[in-house]
Amino acid sequence: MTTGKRRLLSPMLMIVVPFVCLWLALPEALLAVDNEKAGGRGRFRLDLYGGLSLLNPGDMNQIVDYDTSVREFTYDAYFDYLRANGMILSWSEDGDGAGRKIRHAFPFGIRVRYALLDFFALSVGFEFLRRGPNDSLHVQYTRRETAAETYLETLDTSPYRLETRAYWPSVGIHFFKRFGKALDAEAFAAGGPLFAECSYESHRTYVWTIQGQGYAWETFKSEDHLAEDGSGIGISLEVGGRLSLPVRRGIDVFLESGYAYQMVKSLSGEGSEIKGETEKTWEGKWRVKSETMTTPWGTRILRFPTNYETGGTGTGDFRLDLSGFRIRIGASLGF
Amino acid sequence: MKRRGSIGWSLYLACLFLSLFPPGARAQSLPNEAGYMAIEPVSFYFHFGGYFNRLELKSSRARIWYSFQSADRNGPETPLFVFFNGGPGSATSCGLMSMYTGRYTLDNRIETGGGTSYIDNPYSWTGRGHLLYIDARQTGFSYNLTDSVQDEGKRFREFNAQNFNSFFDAADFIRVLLRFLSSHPGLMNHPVIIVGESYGGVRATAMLYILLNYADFGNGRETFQDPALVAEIRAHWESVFPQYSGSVVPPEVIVRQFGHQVLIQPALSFRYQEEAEDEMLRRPDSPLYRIGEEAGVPYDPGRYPDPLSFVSDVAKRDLYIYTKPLNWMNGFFGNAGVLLRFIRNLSLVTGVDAAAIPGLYASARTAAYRVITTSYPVSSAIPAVSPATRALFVTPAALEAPDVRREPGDLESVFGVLQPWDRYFIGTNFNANYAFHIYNVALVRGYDVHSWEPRYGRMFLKNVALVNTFITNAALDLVVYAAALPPALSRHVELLDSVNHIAGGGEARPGQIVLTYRPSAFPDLPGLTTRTIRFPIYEKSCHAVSLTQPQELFTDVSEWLRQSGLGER
Repeated sequence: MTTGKRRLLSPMLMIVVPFVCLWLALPEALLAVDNEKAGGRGRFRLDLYGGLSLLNPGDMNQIVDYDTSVREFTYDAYFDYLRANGMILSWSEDGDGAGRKIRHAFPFGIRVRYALLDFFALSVGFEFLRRGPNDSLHVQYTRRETAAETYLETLDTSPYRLETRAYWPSVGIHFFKRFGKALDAEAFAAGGPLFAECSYESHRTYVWTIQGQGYAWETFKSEDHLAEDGSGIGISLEVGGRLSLPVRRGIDVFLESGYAYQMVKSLSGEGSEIKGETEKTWEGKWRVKSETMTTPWGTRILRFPTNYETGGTGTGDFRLDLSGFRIRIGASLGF
Repeated sequence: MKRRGSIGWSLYLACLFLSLFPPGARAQSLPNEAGYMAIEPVSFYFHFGGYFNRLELKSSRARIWYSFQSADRNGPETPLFVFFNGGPGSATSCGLMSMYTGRYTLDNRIETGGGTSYIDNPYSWTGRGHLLYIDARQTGFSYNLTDSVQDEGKRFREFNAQNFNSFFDAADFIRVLLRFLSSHPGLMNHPVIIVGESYGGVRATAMLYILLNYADFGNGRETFQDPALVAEIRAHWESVFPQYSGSVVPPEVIVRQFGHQVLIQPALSFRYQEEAEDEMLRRPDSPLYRIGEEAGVPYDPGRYPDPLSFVSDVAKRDLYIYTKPLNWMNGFFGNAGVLLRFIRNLSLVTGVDAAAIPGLYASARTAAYRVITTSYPVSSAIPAVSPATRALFVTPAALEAPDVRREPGDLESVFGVLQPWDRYFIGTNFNANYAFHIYNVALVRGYDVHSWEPRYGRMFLKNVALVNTFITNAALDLVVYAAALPPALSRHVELLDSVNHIAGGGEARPGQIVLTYRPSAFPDLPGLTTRTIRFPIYEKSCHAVSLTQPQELFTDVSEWLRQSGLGER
């Protein structure tokens, strides 16, 4: 990921620095709004906040669906086929092999606002969002081959991790109105470039053990490691509302809620795979691909996102969609 | 003047003499060879079509035994016969190499005191070409090497799909063959005739299919993927067919070198063969009724649901030759296995000084292993397989007993005492056999690469479209009941419109199988309609046809080769 971060930091600086310069260069006349016009809380405010974003990066979450489907097809469906054809006596499954999808994230950010009028302010901000549920999965399949012999197949996957990170410099406009003596209500809109990264990592250990009367042989063991990273630049737009309340002189607390459209339509990055003693690395563009798994017990077409260029067919665009509703709480310092 | 005239006359006579022999016949004959071909660890994988969810495996180091016997006459197109037995897990050295194919053979007069020594073979196939015998991985003299070889658990895990499956087994043979050709540039372009017996039919099928469609074994199209093998095959074609350099050599061109196969009682589409055999042996014209009468136990399909169990367990007859008592044929394999453990016999049969083969010395094989347990117990029943398979693969324990004989001239006295898990010779390696059939992670994970699978029948039928094929029809063999082969092939309705077994003909031992392909059978082989397989009957033969009717087999193969374009040269 070192490369990906370097790739993001450079354009971020290119975006943020001009914003700051623009803000510093605003004509004094435009900035000549007294504190009263700014609601009596100072022209400048510094917001610090954290919160919760509800999101569903569908293309990325397909990795979990794909892994689950492959396991169910190559184990559950296969064992059903063996059982139906009298090739095994019975089978059972113990454990949970499904990893968690990304459903939410915890953004935090910083924002500087400047009140131009007593109901209107401009802002520049920077927000960071990260989510990477780290799972440790265990499934064991037991199949009775004969009356005397049982096969145990265990799949341990640790870590199993999808992760997304986003960096969002923004400019915003804010319309606010005071209710009563202290409560401010506000509507805002903000937008800017979205620098986003995604990554997937799984390390799977497969063990096949034969159990019989008086023996248990570990017959085969393999370990696979797969890691894929991606980064790209997209767009972020957000609208929302905010309530803020002073708690002491110059300090407000606020609650914001809104909907953000955050989309990156092109990501690329590195990938690596270790299977046994075979190692492979690559670099490629993320796409949603499909592959047809043809087995003696049926055929299944599966879609999966990857940055591995030569795997799968029927490529489609991969989008990292971090859009969703979000809620934040924070403190605002006036000066 | 007189002297000049004498010289001129002498030159004229010399030129006349030389002109009597074509250049090929004047070529130097090659020395016999025997020894080991080193095979490095190979990474390969199986897949269902999904890239990331593949079963990646890495084989162990191996030293594969081969024996090369030079043809009586070497010409530019003298064919190279490549011999192997089956099992899987059975050795070629005590099989085809010892049974009337090379210059020396085990005599076949077992009932009159024979079968216990090597004799001159009057029907040596060296009269038709060069002979290359190969012992499959961990069979015969071939052995694997690994680290921590003293660890029994490690040795147990070695007998699995990474070393034993029908595709990798074929890849092993291709590697040995191509490396042998590469190290003998004079033979590089010679026609190669695959000769496989029993399970060797599956091996021959897989070998030819891989060679003819080699690109698909590195580009993801086939279930088995072995990129290193594809590179090796490609390099060979670059040498043999340089006009195709940089492009995929079409199978129609490849068969210029690999255009013939001789299959002795082969497993080809074995599940279908077993199904057809089971049906045929229950019919009123089945030989089982005669066997029952002779044994004094009438055959009743209702009472004996498994026909082969009736033959072996009730009538006590040898499934490999039902006119003989149990284990008659395996007695020959066992005898050969015992004899080959003596350096005198090994040198005689191979035609080389075996003491000069470095890989035989105990000091050169400290990392070698052949078996899992040092006591090597033999199960009388393989779980979860049919009785027919059990009959095929369970042979007497004597064949795999440790070869500690302590007799003058045995290999141990010459090459040194081996470690307890190593053996100089194993006729049938049951650990390897089990690894193919039972303890195999590729099978456990659902890859349909077991030798019973119809995929091998489909591969065979595609090979036959281009490769001239000779299959023996041994009348007394119930393990591979050749009469069931035509109906078995006819079950491939997706590829064939009809299969006709023509029993008559003008030959001494007539027989043909005529395959009529469906128009859509193989889109990459347009215009394919019919193909004829030579299918001669051997009325007195057991499974090992070269043992029981050596003259007839040699004569028929020679005539068939002549008729199919590989005449006497």
